[in-house]
Amino acid sequence: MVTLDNVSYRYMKQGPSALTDVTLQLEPGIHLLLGENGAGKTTLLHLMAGLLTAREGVCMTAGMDMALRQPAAQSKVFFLPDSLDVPFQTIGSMADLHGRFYPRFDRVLLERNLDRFGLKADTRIKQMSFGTRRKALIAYALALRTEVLLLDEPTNGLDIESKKTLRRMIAESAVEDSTVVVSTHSVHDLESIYDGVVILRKGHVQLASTTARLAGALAFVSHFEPVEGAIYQETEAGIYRAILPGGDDEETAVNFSLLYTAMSTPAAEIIVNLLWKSRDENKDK
Amino acid sequence: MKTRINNTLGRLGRLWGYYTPSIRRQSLLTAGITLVCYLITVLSARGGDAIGFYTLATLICICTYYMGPLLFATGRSRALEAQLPATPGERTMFALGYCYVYIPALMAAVWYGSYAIARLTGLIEDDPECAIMQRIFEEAHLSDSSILQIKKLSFVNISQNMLTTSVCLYFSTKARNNAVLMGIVSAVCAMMALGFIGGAAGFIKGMTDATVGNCHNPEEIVESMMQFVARLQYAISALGCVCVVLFTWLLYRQYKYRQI
Repeated sequence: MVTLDNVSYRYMKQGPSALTDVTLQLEPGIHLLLGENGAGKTTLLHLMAGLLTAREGVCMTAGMDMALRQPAAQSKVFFLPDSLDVPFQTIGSMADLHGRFYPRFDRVLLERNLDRFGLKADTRIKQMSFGTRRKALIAYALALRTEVLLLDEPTNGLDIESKKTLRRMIAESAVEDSTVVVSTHSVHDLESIYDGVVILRKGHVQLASTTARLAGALAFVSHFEPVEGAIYQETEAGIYRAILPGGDDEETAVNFSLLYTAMSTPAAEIIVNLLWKSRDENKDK
Repeated sequence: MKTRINNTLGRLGRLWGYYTPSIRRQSLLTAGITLVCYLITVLSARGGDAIGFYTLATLICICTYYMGPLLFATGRSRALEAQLPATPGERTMFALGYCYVYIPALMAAVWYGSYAIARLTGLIEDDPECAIMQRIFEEAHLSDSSILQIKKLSFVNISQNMLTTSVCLYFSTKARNNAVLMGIVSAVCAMMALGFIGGAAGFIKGMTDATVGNCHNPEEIVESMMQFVARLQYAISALGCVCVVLFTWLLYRQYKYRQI
């Protein structure tokens, strides 16, 4: 679990704030982190990983304050940046020399993950293409089985088949107590696996909700005709995609891409209000 | 894989493991350079006018020692290194152990190992370094007391060397970009600063002697200069010790508070 309490961060003491008053609680599950360029997504992941320390507020990851940089806390968290050079020749040697820091690291799982991507542990990393290296590192990160796994743009450079494999692998690796946070611009790649979403806008949390609550409070529909009563709708190639207030009808799958676009329009306020309302109703029940 | 990493020794061992590929590369390079430098020293001792080569070999050797901290110039794998579960104190301890114990020990092992092999195989009869130093002393007309003074100073040099290494270590771990370059530049700057201090002090001493006219013959001048150099070396060594402690503290703070 990851908890942020009034966390603020700025890169320079007098500079602009990268994150302001972020209060969040991410329960175990797979969470999607969305935001425009410069919204503070990577900063937030760095704070959760303990690579940055909040100027104000507290960031607790896996139940421990990451600012203290204690080995017990660090061994429960792993952050995979979007671009990383590793000082090892092969993923196998990385597993031998780096994996030893992580008590739950599973070598068998690593072999299996690599196999699913069609890779081998003894292939030289320098000989791999960007996409292949990315796949190898993701397979490794998932095999570490840390309580909190933070992935920055995991689908970058991955082909369509690999994205499907990755989706299955992430879904399988999310065991009971683990929290996976995925920061990405390619929402569609892993859409069906998220348990929650956080939308950042200019360093503020604009929306943080579970997928279940979103599905309960809102309905996401597609039609060939304009949708009446929509909170927000957009058209693409003659198809109208709309967000409606959720009703008693069957729940629809959350369209994160549509939700994200809607959150940058005046419809954002209505969506947030509907989510609050749904929360209150749930409490009453 | 079940591992226990809840003790300092275990984590230090794992840090060694993490850096192993880089350590292997740097060890081979360091050992190779030391060996070449030793060969130059042997050839210089045999040659007639080869003190210049010996000086060059010594300089290369000492620079190799100064560059030991470049192991910690992690560049684009910084995010991976910074996440390693180890306390700032353990990271500092590991870096100090590597730079101040492992690298000098490796160089000494190669240097004296080469000497031993050369002696056993009959390639050399005496220590080539001693032969060269003897020649320098003779050419400089140094008295026995001056030679003794220089020998005493050799241990004092350790703190000066540690100073340059500690500067390189701090800057190569601190730099976000071009960490290797920053490490090299900082070490060169530290060497230049020490050289400047020595040069300035020598200039003042020379001018004072020339103005006051204390010494009348060349041997007296050399003798007086050696005593002055000895005093200066001790002063710089004291400064070196203070700087090493300061940069070690800065290194610890760097590991504790750094923002990636």
